[in-house]
Amino acid sequence: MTKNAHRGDGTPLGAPIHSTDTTPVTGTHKRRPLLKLSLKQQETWFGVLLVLPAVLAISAVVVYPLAAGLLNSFRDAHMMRLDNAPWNGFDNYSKLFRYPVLRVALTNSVVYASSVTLAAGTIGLLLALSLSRQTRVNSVLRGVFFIPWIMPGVVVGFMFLYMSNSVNGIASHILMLIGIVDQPINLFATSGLAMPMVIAATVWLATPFFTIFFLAGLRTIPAEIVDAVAIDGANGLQKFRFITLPFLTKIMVIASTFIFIWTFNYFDLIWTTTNGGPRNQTETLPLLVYRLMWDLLDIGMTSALGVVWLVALVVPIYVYLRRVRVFA
Amino acid sequence: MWFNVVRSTFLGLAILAVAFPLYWIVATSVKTHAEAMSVQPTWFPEKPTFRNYVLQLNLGDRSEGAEYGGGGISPLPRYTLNGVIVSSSVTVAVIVIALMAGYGFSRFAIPGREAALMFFLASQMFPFIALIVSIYIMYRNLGLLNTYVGIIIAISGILLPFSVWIMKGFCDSIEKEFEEAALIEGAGRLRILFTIIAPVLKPAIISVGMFSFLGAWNHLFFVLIIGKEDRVRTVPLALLMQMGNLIQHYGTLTASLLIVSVPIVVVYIILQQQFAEGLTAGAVKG
Repeated sequence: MTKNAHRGDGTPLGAPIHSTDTTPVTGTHKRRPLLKLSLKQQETWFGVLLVLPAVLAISAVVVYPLAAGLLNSFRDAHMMRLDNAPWNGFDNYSKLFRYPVLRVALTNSVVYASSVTLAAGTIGLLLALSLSRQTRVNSVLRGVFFIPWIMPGVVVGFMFLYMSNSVNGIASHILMLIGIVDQPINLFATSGLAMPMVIAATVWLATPFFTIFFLAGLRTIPAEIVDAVAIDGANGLQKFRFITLPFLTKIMVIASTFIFIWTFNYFDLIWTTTNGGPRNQTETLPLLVYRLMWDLLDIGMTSALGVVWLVALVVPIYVYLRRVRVFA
Repeated sequence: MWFNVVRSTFLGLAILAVAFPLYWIVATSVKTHAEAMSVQPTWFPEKPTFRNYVLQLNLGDRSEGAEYGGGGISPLPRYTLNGVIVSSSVTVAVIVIALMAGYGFSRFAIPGREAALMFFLASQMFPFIALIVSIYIMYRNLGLLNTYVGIIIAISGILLPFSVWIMKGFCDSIEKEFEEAALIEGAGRLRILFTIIAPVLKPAIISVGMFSFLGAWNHLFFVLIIGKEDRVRTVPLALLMQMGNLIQHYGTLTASLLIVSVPIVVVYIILQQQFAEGLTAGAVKG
């Protein structure tokens, strides 16, 4: 952009147009600046005012707690004694790392997030491919398939919990019919099955997210390319590999990163169904935070955990940021 | 050819996976207590009754309440009211603030704009649960615990980054010349925003509104921590609170699930199109 680019009458490009013609017109024709600020400065201030509420709100809920949490992680703070808590260096961190459940929770969180992302992503992709054509039936189906995503996590949790209960759970019933088990079991309370069940319930909830994203992405593939390739004799599989897949890659990365982080941070469903599972098998970081905060009442340790959590997510968040910004 | 067979089978299974649980809770919610709790699950309710709903909504005669696990007063109506108050307030607040911020970021050269936008984007992914301790302490000091205002601020804070992002995207897609006609006439910027730009942004406003209402309605964690009293708790907590009771009375359980879900599903069905658009608007351009 040339440095002194301007419109014909001398106002620089990019500045808001304000007529400097002084002949009277209906309404005010020239704005006298208030407070002796130039018009440009006035505009900028107005812009700042516009974004101020949002910035303030987010600062209150994000920035301040971040800073306070960071500080608290180096203090010996307890729920009952918060003011003037003494500094204790890295004590909280060493306590945290020696806490046996931490390793389990971290591993579970990673397993939980990865499995859900993989499974929901694959199923979502297949669903999007199956429903991509603009038929009446497909429109209805797409609507139906989206419903799981809008249901509260607690509702989905209860739903699956009820279906897998040990009295008359339909899941056990079916398993008995097939002959795998011979009496009703509560799947969520069964060691070894709890995590898969939790993953399954979350996949039920999260798949529509991928479906919608992929459907939107599929719509951006120009029809001419698809037709040209078809004329050249490509079959379905080749079409997918060489045309569809490259187009969807960006969306795959964005959606996957988003759901990975979302699942990693997800509290509702596990809390409702297993509350940490038989012997901590489904204990994840969010639940651990809740326990440290309310069971141990140890604010210092909770804050340290928060910091560790953020550090753990830095890489996925960075990847997400890069990809979305590149897109937008 | 057989590709179609595979596709149809796959879709059939998927429909079953989604629709069956939903059918199951609807069916169970109208079963009598005895039938719902019987060891032999029945595929179709034998004697449908609305007893469970009556009890959960505190309507009508509660004389048989104990048998259905609804002996006491159900918290559901009050919590639903709280949910409506909180969600509506959050929606209005987020729409207005995000509209202003989106427009501001889009049209004005604000110092630090790029950094702020990056930060907004990143805070979408923040583990807010990790920050809960500090928020709790801050609220305790400010006296915001157990208040509608406190909960509304917290939930709005969580939903704002994404909403601002969407609004900015939509504002960007409107050419700058659009408001210049009005500017030349001397109209104030604020007035322009609300009378000229806003109508054009209606799809964005609806998307953000839906997203916010849904996010607020479904939100559990913050309300769990910040709202310890009945008078402010929202809907997901209504279910959690009754957990011990509900586990023993499946009819009541499923009835509550439906009472909680039906409003949002209905709203969703009415505004289906905007939902899907809003979700992808932030990431997929074009």
